[in-house]
Amino acid sequence: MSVPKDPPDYGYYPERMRPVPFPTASAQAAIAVCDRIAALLESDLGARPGLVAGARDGWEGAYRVEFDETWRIQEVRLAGLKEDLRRLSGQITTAVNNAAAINGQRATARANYLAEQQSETSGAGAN
Amino acid sequence: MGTSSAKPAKLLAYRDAGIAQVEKWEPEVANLSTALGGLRDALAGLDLPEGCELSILFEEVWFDTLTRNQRHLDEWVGDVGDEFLRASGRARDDIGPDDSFTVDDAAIVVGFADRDRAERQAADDAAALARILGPTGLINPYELANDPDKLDEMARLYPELRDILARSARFHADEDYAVALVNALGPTNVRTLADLANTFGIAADRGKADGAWDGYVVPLATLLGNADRSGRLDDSVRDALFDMDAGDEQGGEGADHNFIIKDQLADMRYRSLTLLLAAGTFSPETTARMADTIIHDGPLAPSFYDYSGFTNYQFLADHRPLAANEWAALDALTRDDHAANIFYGLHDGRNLYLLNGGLGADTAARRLGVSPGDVAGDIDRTLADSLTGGLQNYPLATGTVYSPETTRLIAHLVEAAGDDYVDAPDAVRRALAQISTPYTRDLAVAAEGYDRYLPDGRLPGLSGDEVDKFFREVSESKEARLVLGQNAAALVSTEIGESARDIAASDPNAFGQGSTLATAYYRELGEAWDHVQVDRLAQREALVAGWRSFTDPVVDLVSGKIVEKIPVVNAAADLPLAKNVVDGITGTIKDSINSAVYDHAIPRPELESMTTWRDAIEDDVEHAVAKGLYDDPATRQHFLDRAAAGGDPAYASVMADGQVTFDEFGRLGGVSDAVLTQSHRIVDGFQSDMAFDKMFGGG
Repeated sequence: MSVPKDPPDYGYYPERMRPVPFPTASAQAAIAVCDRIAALLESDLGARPGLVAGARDGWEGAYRVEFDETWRIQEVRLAGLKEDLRRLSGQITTAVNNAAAINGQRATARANYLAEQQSETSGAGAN
Repeated sequence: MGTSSAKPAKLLAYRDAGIAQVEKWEPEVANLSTALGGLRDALAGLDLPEGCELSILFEEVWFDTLTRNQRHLDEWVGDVGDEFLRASGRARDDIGPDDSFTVDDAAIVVGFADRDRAERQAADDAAALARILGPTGLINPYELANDPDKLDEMARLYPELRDILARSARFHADEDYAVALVNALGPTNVRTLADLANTFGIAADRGKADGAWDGYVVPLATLLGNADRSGRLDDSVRDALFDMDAGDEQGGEGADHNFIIKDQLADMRYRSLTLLLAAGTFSPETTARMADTIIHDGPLAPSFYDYSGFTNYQFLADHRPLAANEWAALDALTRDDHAANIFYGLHDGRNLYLLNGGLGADTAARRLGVSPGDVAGDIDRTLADSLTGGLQNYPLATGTVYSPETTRLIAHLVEAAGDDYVDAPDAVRRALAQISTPYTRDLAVAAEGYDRYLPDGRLPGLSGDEVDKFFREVSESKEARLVLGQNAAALVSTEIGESARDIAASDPNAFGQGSTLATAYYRELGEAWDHVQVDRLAQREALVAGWRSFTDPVVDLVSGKIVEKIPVVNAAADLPLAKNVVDGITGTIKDSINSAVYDHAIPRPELESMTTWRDAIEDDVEHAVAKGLYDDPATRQHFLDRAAAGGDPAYASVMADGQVTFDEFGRLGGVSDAVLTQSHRIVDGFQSDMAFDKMFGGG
């Protein structure tokens, strides 16, 4: 059995030791955008009550009612979206961390495996 | 319904602040879409262990929806505010933040606050329109001539369509409603609706569809324009408006083997396009494309019998530009500087060769019952306004006066104006002279032949010969000559300002570059004026009046400082707004030009008595030098320090209040010496380089 001269030739290792092909860069880009938009929404939704109060000042009648109803639904939806983005960001972060942890374990396993194989090869040569 | 009260200023302030938030969200919609789409693609097909798997819902779509909803709601609140103002007969500038108004609910004409509801209504209205519409909105010219019942049949559609459009007028400011409706209609129905604009016009001209302009064309054009400006109009629908070949459609029978009928059908469609352009407000790109199509591809003179609608005299009395398609197209460009800018850049600048004016004058004259000469002046002023709007106002408002795109366009304009086949009317010549103002120095550089000691010219590829031809063409107008005279004086003034520190340092070559450029510019002017046989006194008048009437804004334009002084607006901004931004500047220039001829009219004996440059401009040059030294803080301080150190007797009185005015500054001995020395040098330079006799042909 030949020992790889220039690892990582992951095909050499058993499948359970090969790195998880997790798209970390894409995941981190998505986390960044989700976090940024969630922060933007949080900040803007925080400022909205002041804006809305300004519009409502002295505003009465059918159009005020229509505004209130529409804004009430929209505000709930925006707040929900902000939470969804936070949750998604957290889920992606967890997946990234899990993949990193598994890959750390697998790297150790590969190193051990490689050492074993080299040891067996040199032992066979001594015989 | 009852009544409503509101403080419109508060609603409009909410709209502005709300939209400012939404404008931060909108680019993030695409960012989220890219990021989540990229991650989904990267995860596709991967067999990941537990804990690494991800299920990503379509949050980007929801974010997009909510962002659109928010913009819709915020704009709707602004629409309500605008409606309160309209119903109360007030303008925004005219009200305080706490002014409250109460109006009938029915007086507030707005769509729905909820975007979904607006789009559902649009779908219902589109279905209602589609049910009424037949397969065509055209009447075959043969049938129109031989079967009057056909027109009656078509005209009977008008009241129903009018009523639906009247309902949709509630959504006059709602782009979401408009684009949903127009896209739901699809290209065939939109084409039919567009054709009906002309057909109803023919019917209206015959008394069979009274009020069809306000009842049909205006609301339809408003809908189409709103849909177009939303940026979400299907291309196929927009293209349907530009489909001028009806030969393959119902109503266009016979066109495939009868060129006369084919042309007559095309006449009808060009007229429809013109009517929609005149009545609506489309995006700048579509406006430019419509104008270009009408002017270049439309019929030169509609055939006899005329199949164009809304051409009766009574109607045209109130809508004069609609007397000719080309005039209406130019008129639309004057309402949208961005569109005019795009229009003049289309097809490698071919529209720059429209400078001869008179577009559509024969047709307009026939329809208005006047001679072509009576209407040509109005059309030419419209052309001139579109040139000024597109090539001066728009670049100024958007800070693109010296961008490569603009300078290329201006160089092309200079070249076109000097073309052998161009013989522009005076209104256009004046516009050309005004448009050239920010490029005065560049024209001087080109005239001088790009000397390596001079700054680089910014008008690419322009030769001295082309500058010469440009000046010849423009200079046939008295007002344009005055503009050029002002530009020349402002160029000298600018160069003096830039040489102020060298002048203060008594550098004998202080005005070297200025002298070269000014001489080149004056020389070109003189040669052009001689060539077009402007008489000597008229030449002197333009030269001297230019010196006596040029204003600070003109100097700012010539020096390029105007770019820093005008607040740059977003290129996508509403163009009337962009126009307003520069109106303060260009208005001043226009006023100075309008009044200069009269305010600064120089009596003939005085003109006759001028035989040298010194006679003509010495006082003005002295003033310019003094102003250059005063305006530069460093040179102003330099002369104050000198006066203090040298015991200048004027110093104590000048500085008595700790301030120095321009007049006081001129009383300082060092200043008056420097002014006299330098102004003599400048005037002597002009005298020796281009003696008055040589340039102006003696008294």
